[in-house]
Amino acid sequence: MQKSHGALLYVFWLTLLHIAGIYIFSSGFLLTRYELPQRSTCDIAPSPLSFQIRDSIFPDLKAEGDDSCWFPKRFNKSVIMVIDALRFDYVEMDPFVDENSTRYNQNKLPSIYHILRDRPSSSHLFRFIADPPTVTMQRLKGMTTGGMPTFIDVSSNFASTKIQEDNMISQFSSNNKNITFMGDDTWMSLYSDHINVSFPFDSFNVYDLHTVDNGIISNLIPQMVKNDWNVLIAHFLGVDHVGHRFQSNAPAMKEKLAQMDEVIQQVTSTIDSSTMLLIMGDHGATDSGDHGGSSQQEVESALFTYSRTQSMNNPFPSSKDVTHAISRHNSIVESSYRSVPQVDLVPTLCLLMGVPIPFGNLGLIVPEYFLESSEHAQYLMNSVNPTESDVQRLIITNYALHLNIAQVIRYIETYSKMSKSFSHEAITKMKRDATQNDQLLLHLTQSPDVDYVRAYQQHRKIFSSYRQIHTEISTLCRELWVTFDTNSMLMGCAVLFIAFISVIQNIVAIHTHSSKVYNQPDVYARLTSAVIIGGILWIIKSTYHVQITWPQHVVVSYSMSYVFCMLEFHWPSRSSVSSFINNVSENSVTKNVVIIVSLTLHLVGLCSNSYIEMEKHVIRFLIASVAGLICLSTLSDVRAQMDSWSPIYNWFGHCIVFALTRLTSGGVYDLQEGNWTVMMMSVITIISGCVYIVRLDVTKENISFVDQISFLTNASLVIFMWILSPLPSLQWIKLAVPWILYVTCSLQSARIIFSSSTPIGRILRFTIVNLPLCVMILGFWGPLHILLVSLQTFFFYVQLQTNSSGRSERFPFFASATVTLMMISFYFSQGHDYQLSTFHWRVAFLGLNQLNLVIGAILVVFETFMSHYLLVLSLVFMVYFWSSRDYKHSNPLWEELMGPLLTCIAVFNSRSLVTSIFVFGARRHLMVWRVFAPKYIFDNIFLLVLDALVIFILLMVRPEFRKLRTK
Amino acid sequence: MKARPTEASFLLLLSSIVAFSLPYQFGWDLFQPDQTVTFVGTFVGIFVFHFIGIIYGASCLDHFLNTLSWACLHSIYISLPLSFAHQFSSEAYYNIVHNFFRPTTHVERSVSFPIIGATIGSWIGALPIPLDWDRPWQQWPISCVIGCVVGHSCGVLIAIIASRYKSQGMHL
Repeated sequence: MQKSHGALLYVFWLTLLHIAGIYIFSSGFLLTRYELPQRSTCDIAPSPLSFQIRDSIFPDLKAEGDDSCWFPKRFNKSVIMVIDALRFDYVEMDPFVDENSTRYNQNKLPSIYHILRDRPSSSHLFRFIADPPTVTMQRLKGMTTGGMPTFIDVSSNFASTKIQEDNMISQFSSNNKNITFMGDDTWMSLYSDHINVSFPFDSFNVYDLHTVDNGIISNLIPQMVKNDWNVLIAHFLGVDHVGHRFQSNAPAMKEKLAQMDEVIQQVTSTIDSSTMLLIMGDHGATDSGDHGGSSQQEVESALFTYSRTQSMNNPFPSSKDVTHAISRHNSIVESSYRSVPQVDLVPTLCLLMGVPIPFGNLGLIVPEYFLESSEHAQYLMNSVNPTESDVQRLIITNYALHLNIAQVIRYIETYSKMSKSFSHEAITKMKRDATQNDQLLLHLTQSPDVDYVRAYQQHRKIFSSYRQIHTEISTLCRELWVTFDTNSMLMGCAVLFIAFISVIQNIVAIHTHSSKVYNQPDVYARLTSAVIIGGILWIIKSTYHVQITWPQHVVVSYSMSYVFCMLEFHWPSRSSVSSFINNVSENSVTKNVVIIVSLTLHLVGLCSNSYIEMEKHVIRFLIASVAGLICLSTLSDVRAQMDSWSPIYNWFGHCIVFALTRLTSGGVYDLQEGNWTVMMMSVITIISGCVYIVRLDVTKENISFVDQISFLTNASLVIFMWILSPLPSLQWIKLAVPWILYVTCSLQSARIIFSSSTPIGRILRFTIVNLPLCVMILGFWGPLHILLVSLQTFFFYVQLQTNSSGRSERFPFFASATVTLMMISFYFSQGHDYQLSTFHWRVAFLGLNQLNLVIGAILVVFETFMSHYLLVLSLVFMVYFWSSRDYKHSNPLWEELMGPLLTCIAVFNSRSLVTSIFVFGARRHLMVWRVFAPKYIFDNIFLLVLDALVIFILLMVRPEFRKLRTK
Repeated sequence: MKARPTEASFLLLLSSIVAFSLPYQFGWDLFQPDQTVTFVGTFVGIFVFHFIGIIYGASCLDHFLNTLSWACLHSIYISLPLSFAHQFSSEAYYNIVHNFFRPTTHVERSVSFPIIGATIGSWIGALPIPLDWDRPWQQWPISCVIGCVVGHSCGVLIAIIASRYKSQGMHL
């Protein structure tokens, strides 16, 4: 009694530890941002003062028939040329470098340089700094919404890749700007609703250098001439593909950049005076041509803009070239180009085109575009003798800044109303500062100061104050959305590691028949060491100024204290480990070693994204390896039974295990409704299963009449539902039958759980009663799936048994580890993967007409983890048969089960731990968003599901209370 | 990449090399048994190994010839010496399996070690296949074949060295 409670408590404690570890890690890793549905509109100004300021600066805006609303547009049209992976140094020209000594990617875009030299007042070049991850999809999102990238952008729609947030493209289209698009088809998956004319090209083949670019080039000029567009987007992929295929500095890059140069030349000569041309890269690239990370080369791309309009008056004709060239030549200044964050494009371009800034934008306008020119801007900012036009420009810039800041603050306010993640004081302070500025600006515009110098000074103050507010806001957002909390991640790993050590310790203790299993160390010892460790942690925290929250502090020190006590109690000695490895029998040694080696290999393989993507094949390979080893070692029995046919007979068993392993790996079940062949097969399987189960007497347990009846009726109900559901007049049967099953199965289960039969009887009855429910949830393929699971485990058990020599031995370690691998394998064979989109959402509608979130979620969870449930049950039966071979030595079932169940937990715990560690190491890796993070989430869910299953099984096999009472 | 005639001829070449090296490996006195058994054993071995290849993850229909050539190689490396040396005698097979890691005689050593080497080599050769390095040698049987050949050679070397070392003063 005491001991079984100890075991149950131990698993509870382990589960708590897992939850704590996963929670702590996730709080540092899964940075969440909610996507807000709000959109900016023309009529609603970001701040109540905005339109007052607008009307005082531009009194005749509406009279001119201008359709721009927040800000008078400067350009009617814009051409956006995105050149994928255009690193800044491809664009920057060094005229003093000899043609022959340059790299293949240097000085290859002379047309940009010529424009910068010849028309400095109407062209700009900036370093364009992208946020990591520097991948095209994420960058396009950032470049159009103006938001920061986070791991989980919680949006209203999971299934679609379309951008739900307010963005630049949707603002263009909702303000009657026609959009023509050509190039990388990623855009189509993101914005297809807003694009009027499109020429998409496939972007996946990295080896194809020219299809996309040639497709754009043949369409670009004809479309530009057509004049039915306001925004023309062309996304070139060639440069990126050259980098991926060869490297950045490859001969092919020279040709590619020359081609780009030609396009740029054509475009610059075609655009008219009301058009703005933007040429930019979405991200940079390393020298080897890769991108995705956060190194300077990867984040630094170029933004070049050009328009034919002359600025009002340009005091410095072509001075830029002279100063620039001289400074370059004398190596005084490395480069005189300013850095501009990528998100800043959003507000700038929106205001220049006269559309509202997207609701969720966090970028800041680039003042150069409002102060007319870069050089001019520098001059203006330090001017001591400002003219009237200087003041006027500064006022316009300040108004643009005002709109920008007001919109950002509105976003932050709306966001914090929803999630409470920003500190209230910070927001209030920012809002107060911004309002002060707004009022000052309004005052200055309504009653202008006659003294230019004084007005100029005041406006400069407003200018810098707005920029100051924006810096504060972006620091705040960056902390919340972009910065991983490495301390939490490390502590989470530590807690999971502690849990893992503790499980391993117990498994070793169980297999070596140590008496110290599940012994809880003394409470006082534990508390004392917890206090000591907590103190050490606190000293570390205060010396190194590490951010640790109090709950984390407590959990970590408590769990660490446990391990210290455990280690003191029973540090697994060398002899106990070796006796664990060869405890079972002589011929288990190799298999134990091999399964440990293959599991280790599998775990190490998780650091590679390709192994994660191929996991189902890897798992199958490992299962087949273990089965093959068992098969080989049965050969050694050949002599003992040389005259009989039994070894050959056994080999067929091996063949079945092999064939099933192969058959069930990978999504074999193509879940299509209305497939009659599958349905007939399933019906036959169910009927024969019924016959079999009614006659079932394997465990010498009487399955009660009620159980049999409930099984039979439910199974036949499922069959009727499947056969009759295509008939339109009998649609109600689809709703009724699931509910009959839900109710009867839950009632029966409750009855069985609280009944007083033997442990194995309870589990057997529970399994049988719930089988029809499982079948119904799994669908047409359900019977086949369950059949395959049972066959696989049955023959695996037969293999094990023929191979075992000793009688009173525990269920071997390698066998439970292999069954655990089968859980993962069958998870895949159900057609699942580590992606939300591979969930079988149709299950959520069983017995329901419309979606009910709670019932739907429960059903989907059941369906997804059905293989885990089935295989844990199989494991229980295997262990039961294994231990009941020997009547003399009869441990209670729960004691026999602890080893195998803890092994399952250990395998999943190690997977979770290793994935966490790799996610921590690769948190800035390109694949972390696509491969590692989903894998991490699913591994943790697996672990928790398994914990829950183990607790459930242990509760089911609890020793009979009645018997205990009579003792 | 599909299996081409060049690969088939390469395999034929390999098999003949192995076949001709057998007498050198086992000694000429042993080179007397019934050849048909050897050939039948090798032939059956091809199917067995094809089946094993499919079990371990090779596709049933795609790359059929690739799998078949891998099976041929394994059959040549594993079934051929087995059937050659032991002639379907269950007693001998039992000895082999039972003493797999502890071969005592020269013949057992020169059969077991190359077989173990070839198997382990092929197993390890399968590990880099899923990686996305896009190297030509990651194509399905190639890395396994390389592993198999290297493992087999190591096995032969170990067998020879072990025999030299152990057979000092010991009669074959």
